[in-house]
Amino acid sequence: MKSLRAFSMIFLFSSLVPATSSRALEISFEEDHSLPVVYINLAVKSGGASDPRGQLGITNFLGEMLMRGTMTRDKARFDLELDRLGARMEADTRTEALIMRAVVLSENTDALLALFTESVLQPAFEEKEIAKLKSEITSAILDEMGRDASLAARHFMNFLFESHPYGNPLLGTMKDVQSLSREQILQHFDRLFCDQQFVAVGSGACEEDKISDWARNLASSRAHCKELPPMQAPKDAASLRVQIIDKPDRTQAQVYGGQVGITYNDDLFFPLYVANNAFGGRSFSARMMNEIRVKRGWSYGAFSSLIPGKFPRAWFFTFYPTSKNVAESTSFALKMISDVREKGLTGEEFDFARQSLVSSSGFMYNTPSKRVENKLNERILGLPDGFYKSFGNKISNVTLEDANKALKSFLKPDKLAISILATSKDIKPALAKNLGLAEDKIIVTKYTEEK
Amino acid sequence: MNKLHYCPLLPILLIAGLTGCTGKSTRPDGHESRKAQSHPLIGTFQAYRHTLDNGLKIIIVEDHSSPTFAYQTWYRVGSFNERKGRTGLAHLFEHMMFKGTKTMKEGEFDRILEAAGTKGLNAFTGKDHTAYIQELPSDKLELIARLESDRMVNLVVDKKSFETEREVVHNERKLRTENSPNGLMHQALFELAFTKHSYRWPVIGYKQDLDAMSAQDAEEFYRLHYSPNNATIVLVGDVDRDEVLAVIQKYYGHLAAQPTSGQQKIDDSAPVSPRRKQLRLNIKIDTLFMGFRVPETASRETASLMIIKNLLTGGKSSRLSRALVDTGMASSIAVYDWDSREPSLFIIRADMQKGKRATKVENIIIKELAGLLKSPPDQTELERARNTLLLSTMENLGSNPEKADFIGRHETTGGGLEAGTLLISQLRSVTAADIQSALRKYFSSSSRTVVTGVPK
Repeated sequence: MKSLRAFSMIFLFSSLVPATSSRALEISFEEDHSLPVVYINLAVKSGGASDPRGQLGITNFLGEMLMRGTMTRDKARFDLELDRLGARMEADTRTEALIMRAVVLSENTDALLALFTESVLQPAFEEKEIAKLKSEITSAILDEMGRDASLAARHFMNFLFESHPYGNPLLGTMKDVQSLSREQILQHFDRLFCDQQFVAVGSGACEEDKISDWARNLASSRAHCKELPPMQAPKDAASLRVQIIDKPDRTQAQVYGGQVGITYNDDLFFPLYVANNAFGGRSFSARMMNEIRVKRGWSYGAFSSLIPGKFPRAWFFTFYPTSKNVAESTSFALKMISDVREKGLTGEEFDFARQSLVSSSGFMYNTPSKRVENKLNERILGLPDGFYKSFGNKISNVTLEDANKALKSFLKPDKLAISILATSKDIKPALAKNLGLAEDKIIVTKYTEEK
Repeated sequence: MNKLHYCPLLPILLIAGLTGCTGKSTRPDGHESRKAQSHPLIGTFQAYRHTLDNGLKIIIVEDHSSPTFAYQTWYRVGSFNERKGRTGLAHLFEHMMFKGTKTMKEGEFDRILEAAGTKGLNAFTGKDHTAYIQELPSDKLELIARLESDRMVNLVVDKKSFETEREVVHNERKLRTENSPNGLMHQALFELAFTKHSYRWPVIGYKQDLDAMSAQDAEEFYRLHYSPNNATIVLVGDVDRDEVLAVIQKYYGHLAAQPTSGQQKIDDSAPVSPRRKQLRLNIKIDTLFMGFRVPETASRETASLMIIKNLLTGGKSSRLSRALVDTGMASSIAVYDWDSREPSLFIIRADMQKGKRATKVENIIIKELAGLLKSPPDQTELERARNTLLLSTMENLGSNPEKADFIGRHETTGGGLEAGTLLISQLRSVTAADIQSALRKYFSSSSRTVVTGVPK
């Protein structure tokens, strides 16, 4: 076996400095004075998965509303002030977090912090702005119907998780968004924006103390609130399911397939992480890319990915073949999954993937912005400090036997959810035949249909 | 790594590998350097420039905050250099650069670099440039120089590999254009705006041209455009200038300069009356692309045009955001970044809100442009536009690959790194009069090109 050595990263700039505060607020700020910019992120540890039934999209809606006017200035004045400062604010809605992001020219940091505080502590939630935002989000959902890759991914997650909140579309549905009331938005604000939910992480040309003080003051102004209702872990379906998202005039399909994944804390995670990279990593040497793109030219790309969450989320693969190749390439991909589960990876595939991952593990944390994202993820998902820095060492301890055992116990080719965006009439008969399914077992969903 | 104590006032010497503060620079091999100079990049960063005898340019920015560096090779060739009937060749050829060479089997290039821990191993082709990019641990300088110099001159264009890769490009084309409303509209905009110039056709090429191409075309393209004198290597990160120059000299110094084939300037004047096209697409809301012919990036008017971009769409308080998004007409409005060696397009793109028509939004944009001419920005509005622009510039220079991209782009399309940094400083001095002058010259409503996408 080749000897492996992670290249260790030694940073001249300080590491993220954790600062403690009352009532569990978590703050980290990394000073970096190389450019005159400051990045500040305030996250709450609940995201789109916390959207109540009938209110899908409310977390995203709430994040956007926080930047649409306060008790003392309307949206127009709020926007003017941000632009005057050379600043930008965004709401980044994820399945398990809502992150309010701000960036500012460092000379205007104080003014931006004041504006940020105002947006979180004194939001106006004006009816006029609620109506305007409903129209914008409805239009954004309609716009997504013209973008195949994004539309296919949304349908796939929904199909995979069925009624589980991990399948919630983050933008919501047009029906739910249109029906949101100001009262519901206020209730959701009070559910999410509680002191014990906050995480503040940032970097840039500013003193760490200033950001810590700001975050503490802000958090202490919000009440301690009730825990959100607990979520259950998602489960795989009982059998293979296939769905076509029918869209007219497609010459190319978007193929997604997958199953429920695992958490970072699972003993199988690192063996599976290495195995997944050997099988479906973004390298031309990975098995899927090599077989589907390099050897056959079927698709521009072919990958598989793990998305860990607080609970097991997803493992999925994707590629985008010409319509005429959908049936053959999809059944081929399924066979590849069965094969790798039964026969495992070869020693050469495994050694190469592990060596590449160990050698490149330093790139997971080589810039302030990556370290900020790592810290956010550690806090949101309840991971130990330095979790991402430990990847290199943990990967180097994985053996071929571990990886193949993990594949065997994790992969469930007979329970996969397959979702294909294509023109149904062009692919369905051949797809059914190649997968050995009756045509009526393939669910056909119109591309405009919502959850 | 052999660190030297440097003379701070003469950074030219630093890249020349001298240990003393003398007035004459030499290369690591002892010969006189043709060209060596330093230039402030941004923030605390300094760029160092050097040119080998064979014409290969090297630009180095040291940043020792993490033991990694970006290595990018920018060739001054893109779809601009193609001819009719062979559109897409520059991009298809870029794919071929990852195949075998006289010294390495197909696939070996990727495997060696991936095993060494390379990240972002990729390439991209534009109208005026083709770039090959990597990010590596800092002890891999010699490795990447050896591999990149090898494929600069030793590539083998195998017929079977060419045919497989052409199929991949067909699939990429389906992804980016054929099945993408945005891709189709973008393509239509350039086809309409240019009648003769090679900017007319898409970088990915037309299907029939890809079908007609042969491995021989690719070989010919390689011979004409891939040589040290047509390339710039940009290194940003944990590298030592002296060591870089010694390594580059070792692996590239012996490569011979080649006569390169430029493209004759083609006079393709801006439209004198509006040109427009409507596409019926599989979309649910109207989309608008509007293009105005603007000068090359190296033009001294680019700073004014960048300020105009931000006055129009640079933040939520910008003129078009207020006129279109706040009023419920559009869900988003943006001006695309442009970088080009020759006059190209200033593109405004708007996605309508449900039920709103692109034609109406087009009229509002024309009205706002006229309003900007009639009521130029005051100091407060100008300051806002400058600040939002400065912020996005800083954000785009946050990492080693981003800094290298800024340098490579300006080197190949924008009059050089120095012009790029000068442009940033010029943003501070743009006046309302400069803006009015640029508006009069380039934003005549009769010279616009418009493509609208409407639901089928």
